[in-house]
Amino acid sequence: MTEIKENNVCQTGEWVTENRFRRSWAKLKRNKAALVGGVLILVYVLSAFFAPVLFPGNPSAPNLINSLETPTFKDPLGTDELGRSILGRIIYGSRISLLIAVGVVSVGIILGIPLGLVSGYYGGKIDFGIQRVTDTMLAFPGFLLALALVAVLGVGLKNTVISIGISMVPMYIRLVRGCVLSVREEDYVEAARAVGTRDVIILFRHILPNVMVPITVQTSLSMGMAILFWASGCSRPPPNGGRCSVRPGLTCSMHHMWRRFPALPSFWQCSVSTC
Amino acid sequence: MHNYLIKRLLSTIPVLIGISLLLFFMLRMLPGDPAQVLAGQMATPQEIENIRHQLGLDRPVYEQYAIYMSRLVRLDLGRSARTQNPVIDEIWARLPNTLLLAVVAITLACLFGIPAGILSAVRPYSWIDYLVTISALFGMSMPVFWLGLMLVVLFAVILQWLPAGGTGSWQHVILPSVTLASFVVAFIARMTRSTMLETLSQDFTTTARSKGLTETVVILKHALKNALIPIITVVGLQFGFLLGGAVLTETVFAWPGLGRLLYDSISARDYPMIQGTILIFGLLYIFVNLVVDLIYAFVDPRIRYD
Repeated sequence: MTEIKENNVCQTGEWVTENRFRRSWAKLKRNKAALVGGVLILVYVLSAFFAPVLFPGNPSAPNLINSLETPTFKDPLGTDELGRSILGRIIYGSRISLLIAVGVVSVGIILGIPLGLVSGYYGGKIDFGIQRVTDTMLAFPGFLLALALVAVLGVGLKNTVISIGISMVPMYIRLVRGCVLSVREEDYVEAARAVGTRDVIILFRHILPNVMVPITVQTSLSMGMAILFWASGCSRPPPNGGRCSVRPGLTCSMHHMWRRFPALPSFWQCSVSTC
Repeated sequence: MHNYLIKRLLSTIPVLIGISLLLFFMLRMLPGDPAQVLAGQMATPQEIENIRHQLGLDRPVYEQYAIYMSRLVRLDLGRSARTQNPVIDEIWARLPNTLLLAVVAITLACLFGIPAGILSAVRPYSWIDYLVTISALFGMSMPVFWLGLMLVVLFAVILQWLPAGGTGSWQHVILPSVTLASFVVAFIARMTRSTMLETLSQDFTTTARSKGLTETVVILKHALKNALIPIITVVGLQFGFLLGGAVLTETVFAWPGLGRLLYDSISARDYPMIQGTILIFGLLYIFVNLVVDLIYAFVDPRIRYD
Protein backbone atom coordinates (compact mmCIF):
# COMPACT_ATOMS: atom_id res chain seq x y z
CA MET A 1 0.00 0.00 0.00
CA THR A 2 2.79 2.33 1.01
CA GLU A 3 4.66 1.44 -2.16
CA ILE A 4 1.63 2.24 -4.30
CA LYS A 5 1.21 5.59 -2.56
CA GLU A 6 4.87 6.48 -3.00
CA ASN A 7 4.71 5.52 -6.67
CA ASN A 8 1.66 7.69 -7.16
CA VAL A 9 3.29 10.65 -5.47
CA CYS A 10 6.43 10.13 -7.47
CA GLN A 11 4.52 9.82 -10.73
CA THR A 12 2.37 12.83 -9.87
CA GLY A 13 5.49 14.81 -9.04
CA GLU A 14 7.08 13.92 -12.36
CA TRP A 15 3.86 14.69 -14.16
CA VAL A 16 3.65 18.10 -12.53
CA THR A 17 7.26 18.92 -13.41
CA GLU A 18 6.79 17.74 -16.98
CA ASN A 19 3.55 19.63 -17.27
CA ARG A 20 5.17 22.81 -15.95
CA PHE A 21 8.07 22.41 -18.38
CA ARG A 22 5.67 21.88 -21.29
CA ARG A 23 3.63 24.89 -20.27
CA SER A 24 6.72 27.08 -20.03
CA TRP A 25 7.99 25.83 -23.40
CA ALA A 26 4.57 26.46 -25.01
CA LYS A 27 4.56 29.97 -23.53
CA LEU A 28 8.08 30.63 -24.76
CA LYS A 29 7.18 29.39 -28.25
CA ARG A 30 4.27 31.84 -28.36
CA ASN A 31 6.54 34.73 -27.46
CA LYS A 32 8.76 35.19 -30.49
CA ALA A 33 10.69 38.06 -28.88
CA ALA A 34 11.62 35.90 -25.90
CA LEU A 35 12.65 33.12 -28.25
CA VAL A 36 14.92 35.46 -30.22
CA GLY A 37 16.29 36.79 -26.93
CA GLY A 38 16.98 33.26 -25.74
CA VAL A 39 18.86 32.42 -28.93
CA LEU A 40 20.91 35.65 -28.64
CA ILE A 41 21.80 34.86 -25.03
CA LEU A 42 22.81 31.34 -26.07
CA VAL A 43 25.00 32.69 -28.90
CA TYR A 44 26.52 35.24 -26.50
CA VAL A 45 27.30 32.71 -23.79
CA LEU A 46 28.59 30.07 -26.22
CA SER A 47 30.80 32.59 -28.03
CA ALA A 48 32.24 33.69 -24.68
CA PHE A 49 32.80 30.09 -23.65
CA PHE A 50 34.37 29.00 -26.93
CA ALA A 51 36.29 32.24 -27.58
CA PRO A 52 39.69 30.50 -27.82
CA VAL A 53 38.26 28.05 -30.38
CA LEU A 54 36.58 30.77 -32.46
CA PHE A 55 39.55 33.12 -32.34
CA PRO A 56 42.75 31.28 -31.50
CA GLY A 57 45.63 33.43 -30.34
CA ASN A 58 45.96 36.48 -28.17
CA PRO A 59 43.20 39.04 -28.93
CA SER A 60 45.35 41.84 -27.53
CA ALA A 61 48.48 41.02 -29.53
CA PRO A 62 49.17 43.83 -32.03
CA ASN A 63 49.65 43.07 -35.70
CA LEU A 64 50.55 46.43 -37.22
CA ILE A 65 50.69 45.15 -40.81
CA ASN A 66 46.91 44.59 -40.68
CA SER A 67 46.16 47.93 -39.02
CA LEU A 68 42.72 49.47 -39.86
CA GLU A 69 41.77 46.74 -42.35
CA THR A 70 38.33 46.70 -43.93
CA PRO A 71 36.12 43.71 -43.06
CA THR A 72 37.31 40.44 -44.55
CA PHE A 73 36.25 36.81 -44.18
CA LYS A 74 38.95 36.33 -41.53
CA ASP A 75 38.10 39.55 -39.67
CA PRO A 76 34.40 40.16 -40.39
CA LEU A 77 34.37 43.52 -38.55
CA GLY A 78 37.80 44.67 -39.71
CA THR A 79 40.76 45.52 -37.47
CA ASP A 80 41.67 48.35 -35.11
CA GLU A 81 44.69 50.66 -35.20
CA LEU A 82 46.95 47.92 -33.85
CA GLY A 83 45.71 45.37 -36.37
CA ARG A 84 43.68 43.38 -33.84
CA SER A 85 40.47 41.75 -34.99
CA ILE A 86 37.53 43.82 -33.71
CA LEU A 87 35.18 40.82 -33.73
CA GLY A 88 37.77 38.75 -31.89
CA ARG A 89 38.09 41.43 -29.23
CA ILE A 90 34.32 41.68 -28.90
CA ILE A 91 34.04 37.91 -28.47
CA TYR A 92 36.85 37.79 -25.90
CA GLY A 93 35.40 40.91 -24.31
CA SER A 94 32.08 39.18 -23.81
CA ARG A 95 33.79 36.87 -21.30
CA ILE A 96 34.62 39.79 -19.03
CA SER A 97 31.32 41.56 -19.73
CA LEU A 98 29.43 38.40 -18.82
CA LEU A 99 31.33 38.08 -15.56
CA ILE A 100 30.76 41.74 -14.76
CA ALA A 101 27.05 41.63 -15.59
CA VAL A 102 26.36 38.48 -13.59
CA GLY A 103 28.68 39.45 -10.72
CA VAL A 104 27.35 42.97 -10.28
CA VAL A 105 23.74 41.89 -10.39
CA SER A 106 24.47 39.07 -7.92
CA VAL A 107 25.91 41.54 -5.42
CA GLY A 108 22.87 43.80 -5.89
CA ILE A 109 20.46 40.90 -5.45
CA ILE A 110 22.20 39.22 -2.50
CA LEU A 111 22.32 42.44 -0.48
CA GLY A 112 19.41 44.41 -1.89
CA ILE A 113 16.58 41.87 -1.89
CA PRO A 114 16.82 40.74 1.77
CA LEU A 115 17.21 44.33 2.96
CA GLY A 116 14.25 45.45 0.84
CA LEU A 117 12.12 42.55 2.10
CA VAL A 118 12.95 43.25 5.75
CA SER A 119 12.46 47.00 5.32
CA GLY A 120 9.07 46.67 3.68
CA TYR A 121 7.76 43.80 5.81
CA TYR A 122 8.67 45.01 9.29
CA GLY A 123 8.18 48.73 8.63
CA GLY A 124 8.53 51.06 11.61
CA LYS A 125 12.00 51.80 12.94
CA ILE A 126 13.68 49.05 10.89
CA ASP A 127 12.24 50.46 7.67
CA PHE A 128 13.10 53.98 8.73
CA GLY A 129 16.71 53.04 9.47
CA ILE A 130 17.26 51.03 6.28
CA GLN A 131 15.67 53.73 4.15
CA ARG A 132 17.84 56.49 5.59
CA VAL A 133 20.94 54.43 4.81
CA THR A 134 19.52 53.94 1.30
CA ASP A 135 18.99 57.71 0.96
CA THR A 136 22.62 58.21 1.96
CA MET A 137 23.87 55.68 -0.59
CA LEU A 138 21.69 57.10 -3.35
CA ALA A 139 23.15 60.57 -2.80
CA PHE A 140 26.49 59.31 -4.09
CA PRO A 141 26.63 58.99 -7.86
CA GLY A 142 27.53 55.44 -8.86
CA PHE A 143 30.89 56.34 -10.36
CA LEU A 144 32.06 58.16 -7.23
CA LEU A 145 30.94 55.35 -4.95
CA ALA A 146 32.63 52.76 -7.17
CA LEU A 147 35.78 54.90 -7.37
CA ALA A 148 36.00 55.22 -3.60
CA LEU A 149 35.34 51.52 -3.02
CA VAL A 150 37.99 50.54 -5.55
CA ALA A 151 40.38 52.92 -3.75
CA VAL A 152 39.66 51.08 -0.49
CA LEU A 153 39.45 47.50 -1.77
CA GLY A 154 42.11 47.82 -4.44
CA VAL A 155 41.93 47.37 -8.21
CA GLY A 156 40.99 44.11 -9.92
CA LEU A 157 38.00 42.46 -11.46
CA LYS A 158 36.59 41.11 -8.18
CA ASN A 159 36.78 44.45 -6.40
CA THR A 160 35.32 46.28 -9.38
CA VAL A 161 32.37 43.88 -9.42
CA ILE A 162 31.83 44.42 -5.68
CA SER A 163 32.10 48.21 -6.07
CA ILE A 164 29.63 48.50 -8.95
CA GLY A 165 27.41 45.89 -7.28
CA ILE A 166 27.19 47.91 -4.07
CA SER A 167 26.15 50.99 -6.02
CA MET A 168 23.21 48.90 -7.38
CA VAL A 169 22.06 47.76 -3.92
CA PRO A 170 19.90 50.83 -3.06
CA MET A 171 17.93 50.40 -6.29
CA TYR A 172 16.99 46.86 -5.30
CA ILE A 173 16.19 47.91 -1.74
CA ARG A 174 13.82 50.67 -2.89
CA LEU A 175 12.14 48.51 -5.54
CA VAL A 176 11.61 45.44 -3.33
CA ARG A 177 10.56 47.50 -0.32
CA GLY A 178 7.94 49.38 -2.37
CA CYS A 179 6.39 46.15 -3.63
CA VAL A 180 6.50 44.50 -0.17
CA LEU A 181 4.71 47.45 1.43
CA SER A 182 1.76 46.60 -0.78
CA VAL A 183 2.01 42.79 -0.76
CA ARG A 184 2.35 42.47 3.05
CA GLU A 185 -1.29 43.55 3.36
CA GLU A 186 -2.55 40.69 1.16
CA ASP A 187 -4.79 38.01 2.69
CA TYR A 188 -2.37 35.15 2.06
CA VAL A 189 0.34 36.90 4.06
CA GLU A 190 -2.06 37.48 6.93
CA ALA A 191 -3.19 33.85 6.69
CA ALA A 192 0.40 32.63 6.83
CA ARG A 193 1.01 34.86 9.85
CA ALA A 194 -2.18 33.62 11.51
CA VAL A 195 -1.11 29.97 11.33
CA GLY A 196 2.19 30.86 12.95
CA THR A 197 4.50 30.67 9.92
CA ARG A 198 7.93 32.03 10.70
CA ASP A 199 8.75 35.48 9.29
CA VAL A 200 11.65 34.20 7.23
CA ILE A 201 9.34 31.67 5.51
CA ILE A 202 6.69 34.35 4.92
CA LEU A 203 9.31 36.65 3.44
CA PHE A 204 10.98 34.19 1.12
CA ARG A 205 8.19 31.73 0.31
CA HIS A 206 5.10 33.92 0.30
CA ILE A 207 6.18 37.49 -0.39
CA LEU A 208 9.28 37.15 -2.56
CA PRO A 209 7.63 35.14 -5.38
CA ASN A 210 4.96 37.83 -5.57
CA VAL A 211 7.46 40.64 -6.07
CA MET A 212 9.63 38.77 -8.56
CA VAL A 213 8.29 40.47 -11.70
CA PRO A 214 9.77 43.93 -11.03
CA ILE A 215 12.95 42.33 -9.67
CA THR A 216 13.37 40.37 -12.92
CA VAL A 217 12.92 43.51 -15.03
CA GLN A 218 15.35 45.45 -12.83
CA THR A 219 17.89 42.62 -13.04
CA SER A 220 17.80 42.34 -16.80
CA LEU A 221 18.26 46.11 -17.13
CA SER A 222 20.95 46.27 -14.46
CA MET A 223 23.07 43.82 -16.44
CA GLY A 224 23.23 46.20 -19.39
CA MET A 225 23.87 49.14 -17.08
CA ALA A 226 26.71 47.25 -15.37
CA ILE A 227 28.42 46.55 -18.70
CA LEU A 228 28.30 50.21 -19.73
CA PHE A 229 29.36 51.31 -16.25
CA TRP A 230 32.34 48.97 -16.28
CA ALA A 231 33.18 49.97 -19.80
CA SER A 232 33.42 53.65 -18.95
CA GLY A 233 35.41 53.10 -15.78
CA CYS A 234 37.78 50.31 -16.77
CA SER A 235 41.39 51.27 -17.07
CA ARG A 236 42.93 47.90 -17.80
CA PRO A 237 43.77 46.60 -21.25
CA PRO A 238 41.72 43.38 -21.49
CA PRO A 239 39.31 43.47 -24.40
CA ASN A 240 35.79 44.36 -23.38
CA GLY A 241 32.84 44.76 -25.69
CA GLY A 242 31.48 47.77 -23.86
CA ARG A 243 34.88 49.36 -23.60
CA CYS A 244 35.46 49.00 -27.35
CA SER A 245 32.83 51.68 -27.83
CA VAL A 246 33.59 53.88 -24.86
CA ARG A 247 37.33 54.35 -25.05
CA PRO A 248 37.73 57.42 -27.23
CA GLY A 249 41.10 56.37 -28.57
CA LEU A 250 39.74 53.14 -29.94
CA THR A 251 36.60 54.82 -31.22
CA CYS A 252 38.62 57.27 -33.25
CA SER A 253 41.14 54.74 -34.41
CA MET A 254 38.63 52.23 -35.69
CA HIS A 255 38.31 51.84 -39.39
CA HIS A 256 36.18 54.63 -40.89
CA MET A 257 33.36 52.16 -41.41
CA TRP A 258 33.03 51.68 -37.66
CA ARG A 259 33.49 55.31 -36.69
CA ARG A 260 29.81 55.80 -37.46
CA PHE A 261 28.87 52.83 -35.29
CA PRO A 262 31.29 52.89 -32.38
CA ALA A 263 28.53 51.84 -29.99
CA LEU A 264 27.95 48.56 -31.79
CA PRO A 265 29.93 46.33 -29.39
CA SER A 266 28.27 47.64 -26.24
CA PHE A 267 24.93 47.80 -28.02
CA TRP A 268 25.21 44.11 -28.84
CA GLN A 269 26.24 43.16 -25.32
CA CYS A 270 23.65 45.35 -23.59
CA SER A 271 20.91 44.11 -25.92
CA VAL A 272 21.72 40.52 -25.13
CA SER A 273 21.91 41.23 -21.41
CA THR A 274 18.57 42.99 -21.38
CA CYS A 275 16.82 40.40 -23.56
CA MET B 1 0.75 60.52 8.34
CA HIS B 2 1.56 63.99 9.70
CA ASN B 3 3.83 62.46 12.32
CA TYR B 4 5.55 60.40 9.65
CA LEU B 5 6.05 63.48 7.49
CA ILE B 6 7.55 65.46 10.38
CA LYS B 7 9.80 62.52 11.28
CA ARG B 8 10.97 62.22 7.69
CA LEU B 9 11.71 65.93 7.42
CA LEU B 10 13.61 65.88 10.70
CA SER B 11 15.57 62.82 9.58
CA THR B 12 17.04 64.94 6.78
CA ILE B 13 19.54 66.37 9.27
CA PRO B 14 21.14 63.07 10.40
CA VAL B 15 21.12 61.79 6.80
CA LEU B 16 22.96 64.90 5.62
CA ILE B 17 25.43 64.57 8.50
CA GLY B 18 25.91 60.91 7.50
CA ILE B 19 26.47 61.87 3.86
CA SER B 20 28.94 64.62 4.80
CA LEU B 21 30.88 62.31 7.14
CA LEU B 22 31.04 59.45 4.67
CA LEU B 23 31.91 61.77 1.82
CA PHE B 24 34.57 63.62 3.75
CA PHE B 25 36.53 60.48 4.55
CA MET B 26 35.76 58.86 1.19
CA LEU B 27 37.33 61.80 -0.65
CA ARG B 28 40.48 61.54 1.44
CA MET B 29 40.77 57.90 0.34
CA LEU B 30 40.69 58.70 -3.38
CA PRO B 31 44.01 58.57 -5.14
CA GLY B 32 45.43 61.94 -6.21
CA ASP B 33 46.57 65.01 -4.28
CA PRO B 34 44.29 68.06 -4.75
CA ALA B 35 47.19 70.43 -4.05
CA GLN B 36 49.26 68.73 -6.75
CA VAL B 37 46.38 68.86 -9.23
CA LEU B 38 45.81 72.56 -8.56
CA ALA B 39 49.49 73.46 -8.68
CA GLY B 40 50.06 71.65 -11.98
CA GLN B 41 52.78 69.30 -13.18
CA MET B 42 55.60 71.88 -13.12
CA ALA B 43 55.02 73.12 -9.55
CA THR B 44 57.79 72.98 -6.96
CA PRO B 45 57.26 71.06 -3.68
CA GLN B 46 57.15 74.41 -1.86
CA GLU B 47 54.32 75.68 -4.10
CA ILE B 48 52.38 72.46 -3.54
CA GLU B 49 52.91 72.78 0.20
CA ASN B 50 51.66 76.38 0.12
CA ILE B 51 48.49 75.36 -1.69
CA ARG B 52 47.98 72.49 0.77
CA HIS B 53 48.28 74.95 3.66
CA GLN B 54 45.96 77.40 1.92
CA LEU B 55 43.29 74.68 1.48
CA GLY B 56 43.75 73.54 5.06
CA LEU B 57 44.77 70.06 3.91
CA ASP B 58 47.84 70.04 6.16
CA ARG B 59 45.64 69.81 9.27
CA PRO B 60 44.46 66.48 10.73
CA VAL B 61 41.38 65.06 8.95
CA TYR B 62 39.11 65.29 12.03
CA GLU B 63 40.04 68.97 12.39
CA GLN B 64 39.27 69.59 8.72
CA TYR B 65 35.89 67.92 9.22
CA ALA B 66 35.13 69.99 12.33
CA ILE B 67 35.91 73.21 10.43
CA TYR B 68 33.78 72.03 7.49
CA MET B 69 30.82 71.21 9.75
CA SER B 70 31.05 74.48 11.66
CA ARG B 71 30.79 76.28 8.31
CA LEU B 72 28.03 73.99 7.09
CA VAL B 73 25.87 74.82 10.11
CA ARG B 74 26.04 78.44 8.94
CA LEU B 75 25.07 77.22 5.42
CA ASP B 76 28.55 78.06 4.16
CA LEU B 77 29.73 75.38 1.73
CA GLY B 78 33.11 77.06 1.31
CA ARG B 79 34.88 78.19 -1.83
CA SER B 80 35.80 76.14 -4.87
CA ALA B 81 39.49 75.25 -4.82
CA ARG B 82 39.52 75.52 -8.60
CA THR B 83 37.66 78.76 -9.31
CA GLN B 84 37.72 80.38 -5.85
CA ASN B 85 34.00 81.19 -6.27
CA PRO B 86 31.60 80.35 -3.43
CA VAL B 87 30.42 76.75 -3.90
CA ILE B 88 26.81 77.68 -3.22
CA ASP B 89 26.86 80.29 -6.03
CA GLU B 90 28.18 77.80 -8.58
CA ILE B 91 25.59 75.22 -7.52
CA TRP B 92 22.74 77.75 -7.64
CA ALA B 93 23.81 78.81 -11.12
CA ARG B 94 23.59 75.23 -12.41
CA LEU B 95 20.78 73.76 -10.36
CA PRO B 96 17.95 75.25 -12.50
CA ASN B 97 19.51 73.74 -15.64
CA THR B 98 19.76 70.33 -14.04
CA LEU B 99 16.22 70.49 -12.69
CA LEU B 100 14.86 71.64 -16.05
CA LEU B 101 16.56 68.83 -17.95
CA ALA B 102 15.56 66.17 -15.41
CA VAL B 103 11.92 67.32 -15.20
CA VAL B 104 11.50 67.48 -18.99
CA ALA B 105 13.21 64.10 -19.46
CA ILE B 106 11.19 62.32 -16.78
CA THR B 107 7.94 63.89 -18.06
CA LEU B 108 8.71 62.70 -21.59
CA ALA B 109 9.64 59.28 -20.25
CA CYS B 110 6.38 58.92 -18.31
CA LEU B 111 4.25 60.29 -21.16
CA PHE B 112 5.65 57.74 -23.59
CA GLY B 113 6.79 54.89 -21.37
CA ILE B 114 3.63 54.23 -19.35
CA PRO B 115 1.17 54.22 -22.30
CA ALA B 116 3.61 52.14 -24.36
CA GLY B 117 3.91 49.60 -21.53
CA ILE B 118 0.12 49.46 -21.08
CA LEU B 119 -0.50 48.97 -24.82
CA SER B 120 2.15 46.30 -24.91
CA ALA B 121 0.62 44.43 -21.96
CA VAL B 122 -2.95 44.74 -23.19
CA ARG B 123 -2.04 43.22 -26.57
CA PRO B 124 0.70 40.74 -25.68
CA TYR B 125 2.59 39.11 -28.57
CA SER B 126 0.96 41.48 -31.05
CA TRP B 127 2.87 43.72 -33.47
CA ILE B 128 2.52 46.64 -31.05
CA ASP B 129 4.01 44.54 -28.24
CA TYR B 130 6.96 43.59 -30.44
CA LEU B 131 7.39 47.20 -31.53
CA VAL B 132 7.47 48.42 -27.91
CA THR B 133 9.76 45.58 -26.80
CA ILE B 134 12.24 46.15 -29.62
CA SER B 135 12.17 49.95 -29.16
CA ALA B 136 12.75 49.46 -25.43
CA LEU B 137 15.67 47.17 -26.21
CA PHE B 138 17.20 49.86 -28.43
CA GLY B 139 16.57 52.56 -25.85
CA MET B 140 18.24 50.60 -23.08
CA SER B 141 21.16 49.32 -25.10
CA MET B 142 22.22 52.48 -26.85
CA PRO B 143 24.91 54.36 -24.94
CA VAL B 144 23.59 57.89 -24.30
CA PHE B 145 26.71 59.64 -25.58
CA TRP B 146 26.39 57.88 -28.94
CA LEU B 147 22.66 58.54 -29.24
CA GLY B 148 23.30 62.18 -28.29
CA LEU B 149 25.95 62.54 -30.98
CA MET B 150 23.72 60.91 -33.61
CA LEU B 151 20.85 63.26 -32.70
CA VAL B 152 23.22 66.23 -33.02
CA VAL B 153 24.39 65.00 -36.43
CA LEU B 154 20.80 64.52 -37.64
CA PHE B 155 18.91 67.46 -36.14
CA ALA B 156 21.64 70.07 -35.76
CA VAL B 157 24.06 69.35 -38.60
CA ILE B 158 22.02 67.75 -41.41
CA LEU B 159 18.49 69.11 -40.87
CA GLN B 160 19.57 72.22 -38.89
CA TRP B 161 16.31 72.26 -36.97
CA LEU B 162 17.72 72.40 -33.46
CA PRO B 163 20.85 73.82 -31.79
CA ALA B 164 23.70 71.37 -31.20
CA GLY B 165 24.34 72.44 -27.62
CA GLY B 166 24.23 75.14 -24.97
CA THR B 167 21.26 76.75 -23.23
CA GLY B 168 19.03 79.77 -23.74
CA SER B 169 15.77 78.71 -25.39
CA TRP B 170 13.29 75.84 -25.30
CA GLN B 171 14.85 74.42 -28.46
CA HIS B 172 18.08 73.83 -26.52
CA VAL B 173 16.27 71.50 -24.12
CA ILE B 174 14.85 69.14 -26.74
CA LEU B 175 17.89 67.10 -27.81
CA PRO B 176 19.46 66.56 -24.35
CA SER B 177 16.13 65.71 -22.76
CA VAL B 178 15.21 63.27 -25.55
CA THR B 179 18.64 61.65 -25.19
CA LEU B 180 18.23 61.32 -21.43
CA ALA B 181 14.64 60.16 -21.73
CA SER B 182 15.48 57.37 -24.21
CA PHE B 183 16.81 55.05 -21.52
CA VAL B 184 14.19 55.99 -18.93
CA VAL B 185 11.31 55.51 -21.41
CA ALA B 186 12.57 52.03 -22.14
CA PHE B 187 12.94 51.22 -18.45
CA ILE B 188 9.46 52.50 -17.58
CA ALA B 189 7.85 50.78 -20.58
CA ARG B 190 9.42 47.43 -19.66
CA MET B 191 8.43 47.75 -16.02
CA THR B 192 4.88 48.83 -16.91
CA ARG B 193 4.47 45.97 -19.36
CA SER B 194 5.64 43.30 -16.94
CA THR B 195 3.67 44.52 -13.92
CA MET B 196 0.55 45.14 -16.04
CA LEU B 197 0.75 41.63 -17.52
CA GLU B 198 0.76 40.31 -13.97
CA THR B 199 -2.18 42.38 -12.73
CA LEU B 200 -4.20 41.75 -15.90
CA SER B 201 -4.12 38.04 -15.11
CA GLN B 202 -5.30 38.51 -11.49
CA ASP B 203 -8.75 37.52 -10.28
CA PHE B 204 -9.83 41.08 -9.50
CA THR B 205 -9.36 42.03 -13.16
CA THR B 206 -11.53 39.09 -14.24
CA THR B 207 -14.13 40.12 -11.66
CA ALA B 208 -14.07 43.70 -12.94
CA ARG B 209 -14.57 42.46 -16.51
CA SER B 210 -17.37 40.09 -15.47
CA LYS B 211 -19.15 43.00 -13.78
CA GLY B 212 -19.46 44.49 -17.26
CA LEU B 213 -17.02 47.37 -16.80
CA THR B 214 -15.55 48.83 -19.96
CA GLU B 215 -12.08 47.66 -20.96
CA THR B 216 -10.65 51.16 -20.40
CA VAL B 217 -11.93 51.22 -16.82
CA VAL B 218 -10.64 47.70 -16.19
CA ILE B 219 -7.21 48.59 -17.52
CA LEU B 220 -6.80 52.03 -15.99
CA LYS B 221 -8.71 51.77 -12.72
CA HIS B 222 -8.17 48.17 -11.75
CA ALA B 223 -5.06 46.81 -13.46
CA LEU B 224 -2.89 49.93 -13.71
CA LYS B 225 -3.65 51.12 -10.20
CA ASN B 226 -2.43 47.81 -8.81
CA ALA B 227 0.65 47.83 -11.03
CA LEU B 228 1.71 51.35 -10.12
CA ILE B 229 3.93 50.74 -7.08
CA PRO B 230 7.01 49.38 -8.94
CA ILE B 231 6.45 51.92 -11.73
CA ILE B 232 6.45 54.80 -9.24
CA THR B 233 9.59 53.39 -7.59
CA VAL B 234 11.39 53.22 -10.92
CA VAL B 235 10.26 56.73 -11.90
CA GLY B 236 11.50 58.06 -8.54
CA LEU B 237 14.85 56.31 -8.82
CA GLN B 238 15.35 57.38 -12.41
CA PHE B 239 14.42 60.97 -11.59
CA GLY B 240 17.09 60.93 -8.91
CA PHE B 241 19.63 59.58 -11.38
CA LEU B 242 18.70 62.24 -13.91
CA LEU B 243 19.28 64.91 -11.29
CA GLY B 244 22.76 63.67 -10.50
CA GLY B 245 24.10 61.41 -13.14
CA ALA B 246 23.58 63.09 -16.49
CA VAL B 247 27.31 63.68 -16.96
CA LEU B 248 27.63 62.22 -20.46
CA THR B 249 24.56 63.96 -21.84
CA GLU B 250 25.61 67.27 -20.30
CA THR B 251 29.05 66.84 -21.87
CA VAL B 252 27.75 66.01 -25.35
CA PHE B 253 25.35 68.97 -25.38
CA ALA B 254 27.60 71.40 -23.45
CA TRP B 255 24.78 71.68 -20.92
CA PRO B 256 25.92 73.49 -17.77
CA GLY B 257 24.42 71.18 -15.16
CA LEU B 258 25.40 69.70 -11.80
CA GLY B 259 26.49 66.32 -13.19
CA ARG B 260 29.21 67.92 -15.29
CA LEU B 261 30.18 70.21 -12.43
CA LEU B 262 30.65 67.21 -10.16
CA TYR B 263 32.63 65.29 -12.76
CA ASP B 264 34.97 68.25 -13.35
CA SER B 265 35.34 68.74 -9.61
CA ILE B 266 36.27 65.10 -9.09
CA SER B 267 38.83 65.31 -11.90
CA ALA B 268 40.36 68.40 -10.24
CA ARG B 269 39.97 66.94 -6.71
CA ASP B 270 38.05 70.10 -5.78
CA TYR B 271 36.90 68.85 -2.37
CA PRO B 272 34.62 71.77 -1.33
CA MET B 273 32.77 71.62 -4.66
CA ILE B 274 32.38 67.81 -4.55
CA GLN B 275 31.09 67.98 -0.98
CA GLY B 276 28.63 70.76 -1.80
CA THR B 277 27.30 69.04 -4.93
CA ILE B 278 26.84 65.66 -3.25
CA LEU B 279 25.03 67.27 -0.32
CA ILE B 280 22.63 68.88 -2.79
CA PHE B 281 22.15 65.49 -4.51
CA GLY B 282 21.44 64.02 -1.08
CA LEU B 283 18.82 66.67 -0.38
CA LEU B 284 17.20 66.12 -3.77
CA TYR B 285 17.14 62.35 -3.27
CA ILE B 286 15.64 62.66 0.21
CA PHE B 287 12.92 64.87 -1.23
CA VAL B 288 12.25 62.57 -4.22
CA ASN B 289 12.08 59.46 -1.99
CA LEU B 290 9.77 61.24 0.44
CA VAL B 291 7.42 62.20 -2.40
CA VAL B 292 7.55 58.62 -3.74
CA ASP B 293 6.66 57.22 -0.31
CA LEU B 294 3.74 59.63 -0.01
CA ILE B 295 2.51 58.65 -3.48
CA TYR B 296 2.65 54.96 -2.41
CA ALA B 297 0.20 55.67 0.40
CA PHE B 298 -2.02 57.65 -1.96
CA VAL B 299 -2.07 54.94 -4.66
CA ASP B 300 -2.48 52.03 -2.23
CA PRO B 301 -4.37 53.13 0.91
CA ARG B 302 -3.37 49.87 2.64
CA ILE B 303 0.17 51.23 2.90
CA ARG B 304 0.61 52.91 6.28
CA TYR B 305 3.77 54.23 7.85
CA ASP B 306 2.59 55.10 11.35
